Amino acid sequence: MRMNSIDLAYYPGCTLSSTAREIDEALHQVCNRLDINLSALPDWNCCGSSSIHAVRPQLAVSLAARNLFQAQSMGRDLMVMCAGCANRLRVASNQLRSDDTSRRVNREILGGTLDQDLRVHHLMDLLPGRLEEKPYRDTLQKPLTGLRYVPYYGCLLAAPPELKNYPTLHGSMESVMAWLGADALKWGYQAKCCGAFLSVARPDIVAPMVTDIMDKAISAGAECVITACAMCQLNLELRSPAGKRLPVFSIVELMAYGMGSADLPRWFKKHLIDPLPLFKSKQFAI
Amino acid sequence: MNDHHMTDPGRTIEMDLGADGHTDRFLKIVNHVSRQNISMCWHCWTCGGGCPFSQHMDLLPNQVIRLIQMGRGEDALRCNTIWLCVGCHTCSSQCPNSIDVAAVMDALRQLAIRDGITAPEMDIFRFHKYIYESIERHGRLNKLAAMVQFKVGSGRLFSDLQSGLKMITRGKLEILPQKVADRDELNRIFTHYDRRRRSFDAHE
Repeated sequence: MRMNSIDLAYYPGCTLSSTAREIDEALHQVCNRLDINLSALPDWNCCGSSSIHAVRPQLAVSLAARNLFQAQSMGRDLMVMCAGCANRLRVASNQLRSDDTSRRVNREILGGTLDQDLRVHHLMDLLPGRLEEKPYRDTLQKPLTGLRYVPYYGCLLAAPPELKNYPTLHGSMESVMAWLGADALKWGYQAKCCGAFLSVARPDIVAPMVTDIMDKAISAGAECVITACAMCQLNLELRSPAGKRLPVFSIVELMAYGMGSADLPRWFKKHLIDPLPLFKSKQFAI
Repeated sequence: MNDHHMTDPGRTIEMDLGADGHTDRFLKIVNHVSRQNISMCWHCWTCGGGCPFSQHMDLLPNQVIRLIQMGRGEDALRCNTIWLCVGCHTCSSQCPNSIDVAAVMDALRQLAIRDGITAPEMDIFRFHKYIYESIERHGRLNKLAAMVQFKVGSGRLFSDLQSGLKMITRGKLEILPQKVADRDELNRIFTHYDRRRRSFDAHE
């Protein structure tokens, strides 16, 4: 019975299709259990995030447009996991519908226009609601009872003003973690920027920022940090100093675990801060 | 006036930095490229207050906007602020006048490159250049190649060597690039915006 299934076009993006492939795997396992059917865009390209929009904003709109047109011809709304991709694709989708210049230029280049009200979902605006539905609430097999964590959203909670009509993701990670039986701790750093690409170009600026974030997580009493973005996860792991290295998890990785995935030991090998000691001390089956 | 000329983002813009009294010309260009209206800024300083990088900036974000409002576009293009901004949108989501400040910074970076203004943050400039070129080549980002280029270009070959190797052995940096199949379509996009582009190389 797949009465209740949701069909979406899926945009993996450069990070989830390469460096963070384990998050892509976990995400597919989770969506599969929740009857969310994902079909990847047939020939997707960079969403225009990072350096493209940073130096050529309108070129970034065209790169995003090429992806949006593919979703449009599939006749499906689009789902992304990456905060940067979600923002770029949403900004472009807005511009392609409301800005005459953008419509004309992109019709010239790509031979199409964006006509339907194509929604760009972030996975986290779908999951909490889905987990409240009866058949899916019961998919929990391996809880994380008593795991003390801080939710870290980074810039996932921030967006350009024209995207105000999209739902805020505030609280979405806490809903999922509560379903898993974990305990959220209060702290003031959930929307603090992780430093993004300056982690590469100006590590001297980013290292103190990450140290500050980890300090605050530790003094809140957290045993780990939960993220929804692969870049946040990488920066926190890469730039945190010795003695302040809490394990950092992706929310979908833990969700897949809760649903019974046996792939966690393999995914843990990709962490730069080994989460295995924490799992052992909490006596979570792995 | 030719409508196409007015609105084509790929056209050459003769930079008027306010020297001859047309102080709002640069402002209009910034508004067009960013699709924002920076005249709305009333300088409440909220953007700089929330910015995680403001302590390293020589001008706060609203001060950059103020320079443009005053017709001092060139000064706005020479600050390190526009290069330190990572586009986290903390400022944009807090602006009481709904200005996407991060989008304004994007536009200023484009204009600084087009105008051949040397970036005061060369490592950040190089980072953008290598990422841009990687996506221009393949349509998708190959992080390993871009990182190696960055290491060579910035002369910081041995910084982060250990964590870099750890990332490769843990499968976090992929060796082979992924490529977009429809090269022609990708080329059309880049060619359209490249027609009048001043090369990144002019700076080095």
